[in-house]
Amino acid sequence: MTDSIKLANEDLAARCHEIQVGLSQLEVPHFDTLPFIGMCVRLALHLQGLPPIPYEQVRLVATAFLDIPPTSVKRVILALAEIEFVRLAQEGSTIKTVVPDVPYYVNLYRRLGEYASSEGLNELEALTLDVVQRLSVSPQSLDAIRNKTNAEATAINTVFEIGSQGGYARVMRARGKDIAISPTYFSENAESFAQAVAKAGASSVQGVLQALQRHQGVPLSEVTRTAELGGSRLSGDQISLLQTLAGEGAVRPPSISTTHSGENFFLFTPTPHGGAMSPTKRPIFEKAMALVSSVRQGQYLAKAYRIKYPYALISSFAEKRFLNPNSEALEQYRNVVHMGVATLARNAYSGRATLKLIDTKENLEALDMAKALLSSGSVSGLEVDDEAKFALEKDQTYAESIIASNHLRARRKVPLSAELQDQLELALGA
Amino acid sequence: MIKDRDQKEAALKFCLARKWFPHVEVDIYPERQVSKRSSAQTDIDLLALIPGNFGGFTKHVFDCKTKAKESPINRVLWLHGLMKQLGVQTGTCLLKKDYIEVDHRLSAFDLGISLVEESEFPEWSKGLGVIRTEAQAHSFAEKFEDWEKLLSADYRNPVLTPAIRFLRSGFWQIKDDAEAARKCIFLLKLIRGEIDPSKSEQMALVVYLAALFSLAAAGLAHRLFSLFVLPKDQGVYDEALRVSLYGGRDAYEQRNSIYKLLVKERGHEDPEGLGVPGWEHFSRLIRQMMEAPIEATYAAHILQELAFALLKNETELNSIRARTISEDRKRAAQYALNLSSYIFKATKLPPEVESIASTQLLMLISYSVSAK
Repeated sequence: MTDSIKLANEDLAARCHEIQVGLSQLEVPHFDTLPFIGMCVRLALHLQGLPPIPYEQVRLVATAFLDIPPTSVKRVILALAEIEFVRLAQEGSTIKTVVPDVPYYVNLYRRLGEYASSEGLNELEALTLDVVQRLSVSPQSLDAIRNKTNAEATAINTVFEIGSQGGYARVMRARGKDIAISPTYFSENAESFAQAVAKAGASSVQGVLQALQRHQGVPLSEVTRTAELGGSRLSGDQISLLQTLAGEGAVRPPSISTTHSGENFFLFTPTPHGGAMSPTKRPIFEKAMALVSSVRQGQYLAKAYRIKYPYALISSFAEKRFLNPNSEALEQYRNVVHMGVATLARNAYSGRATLKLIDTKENLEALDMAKALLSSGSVSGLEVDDEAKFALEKDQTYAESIIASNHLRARRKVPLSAELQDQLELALGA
Repeated sequence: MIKDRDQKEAALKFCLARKWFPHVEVDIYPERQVSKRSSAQTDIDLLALIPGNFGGFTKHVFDCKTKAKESPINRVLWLHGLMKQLGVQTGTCLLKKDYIEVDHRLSAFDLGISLVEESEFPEWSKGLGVIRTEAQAHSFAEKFEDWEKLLSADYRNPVLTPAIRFLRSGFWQIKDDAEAARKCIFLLKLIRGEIDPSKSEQMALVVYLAALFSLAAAGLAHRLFSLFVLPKDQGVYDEALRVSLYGGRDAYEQRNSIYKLLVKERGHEDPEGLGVPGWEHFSRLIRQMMEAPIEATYAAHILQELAFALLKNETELNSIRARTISEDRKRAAQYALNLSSYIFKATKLPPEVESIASTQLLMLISYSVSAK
């Protein structure tokens, strides 16, 4: 029986964007509307909130930073003008200036999703989006994907062939089963997720992830002790998945060691990747995770003074730029200090320490992300490449100089080691 | 007929050169009234809005008198009372006198007012940074005869009267930006059926109303910026904008419940609640202005310039004032474009209005981007 899902417009546009970022400069003859919408989302995200920009500069930055082919930039800009995300100053058919008027928040995705629906998607594009949407929630067995989409085996195979090249959907073997996984959402600990799905099923994994999203940064020891997460009972398999994620993953979750509660791991839903998270946002997101773990430490594993309202505490820290002296601060906020978010000033007499924010744009952004993690469990705006946005905001000369240096970097080759050089010379009879 | 024309025109050019937003001949009505028909109690020769360093505006008034028998200190005391009533911070009394007592000048200074003799005005202007007035001020709004033409555009059409009265008086007496923004929208909706885009006075009138809306929207954006800087959560931002637009939480909830009852009575439902027409576009506009609240205060200058350009049937927005502002404040013309696009579409004015305004504004933007 088919269990096809009707994608909401905002999801449709978001998945197109992730897939296009994954495909980067790969051209897929099967696709038409899908990568085009992905490019529209990508450019719109980077034009959002910017002043008027010469078209030539948009074309340069879109090509160099956003992987939009030079021949497609004009088509993308004209589509954005059609849906009134930009206004164009033209001389005849020549575009001179792009004036951004891009909506904020989910409205950007919703409107582009509507546009995608009106443009129409071919069967393979629709199937790809259906599969990627399912995999954005949780890895699943390939059989389940086949049954739910009711697609022909060849079509499903094509989806994963293209997906594995684009790095947004792939199939792994675990416990003798084919498990489909999206590296966009599960790049870290992919093996553990595949094992968990093969053993306990996708709905079990999905249940844990949904509960974890509502309680980002919860300590593993707390989950193990109570066998529940945010009021939901966890099965043995689910606890063991969380333990595996904490202990064996490629990227370990943040941990904090204190003299009174030992080493504790703090659990987060997997960090997005590729189209869902720009590389420039990753270090800021890691700072946000460190902040959340620190307040969760104080909430669940305090020695004497428990944090009752983690969100209020982080908000107050963002507002005042410091936290009042606390005898547990030295251990509790050590990671935050190591990551350059704040400094600790210890009073030699009382032994208490005051946490002081290092007032930078990135640290303030990390605090905003930490607030979002604590309130809704997810963070928006991670898709934006700050370098590209900066190149659009500055004048064209700046953009050109950045692009030139990037280009040189991309072409640089790794030099051979001296030993290998000798061997080659010997082999070639030099 | 406007009195003391030369003095006022000099003051007007001074304001334009200083990149202040001027408006001439503001009629002042009693703040509260019991009679059904109220008449103006006085008028201000020139009111100027000075962009603040943190966004928003401060207000400055000019009082111009050419009669030799006027007592300078009496004018100062009268002006100070008026300033207090209108919440204006500073003022200038420009008088035709051969001599003003120094101590009277000192008293005026203590009240935030500059007492200036007409003959001193060129040096006074120069001292305050306006060195080449003509060149700095070249503006489509610098001639008094054009202001007269704009402010008397209702003589042949009574339906336009409320809009003209708002432009001459009402807007300047409203102390809350949100209320001013709502009234601009309401008035444009009210007169939309009368507007003929082929008539230059009417085009100037609607674009001038858009300029006033722009002042109010900049104030609103400045207030929300102070609350959130750049809000990350759409729900929180949208709600704060709605509530701010209707005078705070209590006032909003009271009005919204009445609004919902009225909608229900007519057999409809509006889950979004009370807002302005084209809510998504409006919300996007204010959020966009929060990206650069200081630059947002200059969008009104561009729209004022456009209103006078249209009044004079100019085909290109190429005055020095329009060009220097859009070069120095690179988002000002962009905000002017997006603001006018929003308000003309939301109030359903004939589509040519938006198209005529957009064409000129896009040309200006393209010029200022390529001039850098």
